[in-house]
Amino acid sequence: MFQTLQYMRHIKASIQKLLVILFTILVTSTVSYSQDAAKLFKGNCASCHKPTAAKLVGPGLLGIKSRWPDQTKLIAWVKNSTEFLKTGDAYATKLYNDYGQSVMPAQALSDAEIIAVIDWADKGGDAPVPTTPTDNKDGVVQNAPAESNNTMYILLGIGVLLSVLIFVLSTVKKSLEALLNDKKGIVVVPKPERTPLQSFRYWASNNKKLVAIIGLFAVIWVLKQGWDGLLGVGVYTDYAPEQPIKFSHKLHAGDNQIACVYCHSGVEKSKHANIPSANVCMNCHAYIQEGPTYGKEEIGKIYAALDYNPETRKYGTNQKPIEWIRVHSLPDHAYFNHSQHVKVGKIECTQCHGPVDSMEVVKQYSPLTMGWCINCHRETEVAFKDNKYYEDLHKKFVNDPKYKKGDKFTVEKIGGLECSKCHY
Amino acid sequence: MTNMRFNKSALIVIAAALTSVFVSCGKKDPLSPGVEYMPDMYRGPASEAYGESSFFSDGLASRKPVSGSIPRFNDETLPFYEPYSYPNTNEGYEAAGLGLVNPFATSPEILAKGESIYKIMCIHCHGEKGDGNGILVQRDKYAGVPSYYSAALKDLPVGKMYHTIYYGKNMMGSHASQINYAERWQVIKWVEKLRADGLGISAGSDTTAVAISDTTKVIGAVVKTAMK
Repeated sequence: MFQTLQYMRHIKASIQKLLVILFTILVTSTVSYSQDAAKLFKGNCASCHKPTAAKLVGPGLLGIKSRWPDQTKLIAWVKNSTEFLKTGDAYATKLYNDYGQSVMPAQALSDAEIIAVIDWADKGGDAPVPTTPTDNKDGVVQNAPAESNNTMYILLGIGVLLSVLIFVLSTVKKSLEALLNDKKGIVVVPKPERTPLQSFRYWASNNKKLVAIIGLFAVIWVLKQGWDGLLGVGVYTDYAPEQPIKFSHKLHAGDNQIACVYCHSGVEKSKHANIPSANVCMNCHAYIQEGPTYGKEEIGKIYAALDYNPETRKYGTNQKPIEWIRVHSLPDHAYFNHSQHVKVGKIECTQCHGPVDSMEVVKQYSPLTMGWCINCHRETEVAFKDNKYYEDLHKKFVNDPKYKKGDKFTVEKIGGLECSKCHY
Repeated sequence: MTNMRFNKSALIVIAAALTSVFVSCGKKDPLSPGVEYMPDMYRGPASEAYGESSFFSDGLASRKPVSGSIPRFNDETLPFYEPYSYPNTNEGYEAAGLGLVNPFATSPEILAKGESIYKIMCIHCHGEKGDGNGILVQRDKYAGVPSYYSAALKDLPVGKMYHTIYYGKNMMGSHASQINYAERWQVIKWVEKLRADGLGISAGSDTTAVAISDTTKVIGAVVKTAMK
């Protein structure tokens, strides 16, 4: 009897112990996992799923519990989808076929972690931060091009105000003078009536020197304007046309630090720094469907050009090219090759194109005149160092007694000023 | 009296001159390229890249290469160009993992090339160290970029990497149009190095890789012919 009692007590104690352990595990696990659910989701699921109804590679996870009433099945599916498919589960097979037979990779997560993520995503995740088109968190300046116009209007306004002030003050002064004269009993001989032209001539004949000086400045100014105007013929510096899609280089190349060559990938291989085809846009914008400045509007234009439906993630057949407007244009009789300058000459993009990573709308930074080309060819030293392209040429010059070590070796010396280098 | 009149008139003349200077110094219209003298010299009748052409039904001057044409490039480090024959399916992905071998041996030059390509093509999502924490992930533009040393990717064979670069996978798009055959294999060398660094394995386990790839090449060839 006593023995049985002791035995019972022993069992009771172990059960208690077990319960305590289980409870602690449960509490700590749920606490830590539910806190980390968002993080777990981001790290393991977010590349293919959204916690909303929106589809990516796989379905949106909002309301996932209602679609998977049996939690053990769902856990098995997440842990190893390929194995689970072999059980022939109807819903899983349907999912697999509906989403282009892309395999969900086996997730190395514990049951508790999976449950935490599912609980979190079932309710739509954390309340999503609405990104409205006016959301300007990237500090995008939207009205940058209008700024110079504004300054001009402000100056004009100030000018008008000042002239009104001058007019009012002079009228006041005149009437005060008249009042004073009236009081003193002075009779003012009225000035002879003159037309404005007559009064100007009267004034001019009295101030010949001043008129001469002003005239001289006026002539110089007109000549200067004319000269500048003629020099500017055919020079497109600062040309910044409005493009069919308001693509911001500041956002992409500046804030997001995407390398120039990611999109203009032909620059090291071809004459042209190619305009990226829309499939390059889609490398990111299949996922990023809303921009910080214009929301869905501008990104939607890429989808329209590709006849792409972001809901079904399918491309249609009615595809059209995006009609970008050319900014940099050399005349036909001048040859320019990007790969020669970027790959062989090792010139940075920004040297000719300026700070594109800060341009909201791309503009032509350099004049692209012949004088500008020639000047650079005179000043720039040939990039001989570690340059396979110039290996033979370098050897030749090193062995030539005409040149000493440390001589400045510019592009001019290897024929950079020859007419036929660029005009043929 | 004359003196006063002079001041006033001079003021008006100077104000007018200043106003006209300000007006004329306003920047030229950014929407217009400006004045052209003999526009025929700028815009000749010859077709330009990315230009329009009424000659073709789709209105584009740029043409695609004839289907089936094989690019030739001047890279003597490569033995030959191999058209990619694995289909964009799960079977193709598995088969590529077994059948593809990097044509480059590991060398400092190839690694340097791979690094520079990585820093242009991959870094903004996959991060400088390949931990999946690139600038776009940090800025919350993109999420869920896997780390190269995560459980899922730490044993990924190079063939699957190549297949992924070529066709894209999940949310990663195809990069076949941006980097060519040689560049893909060069960047894979750098990805392998990042992964080895992240896992704490010393890079240069190339000999084993070659030993494995010799056998997998045979298996891959079998799979390939079986698929045909």
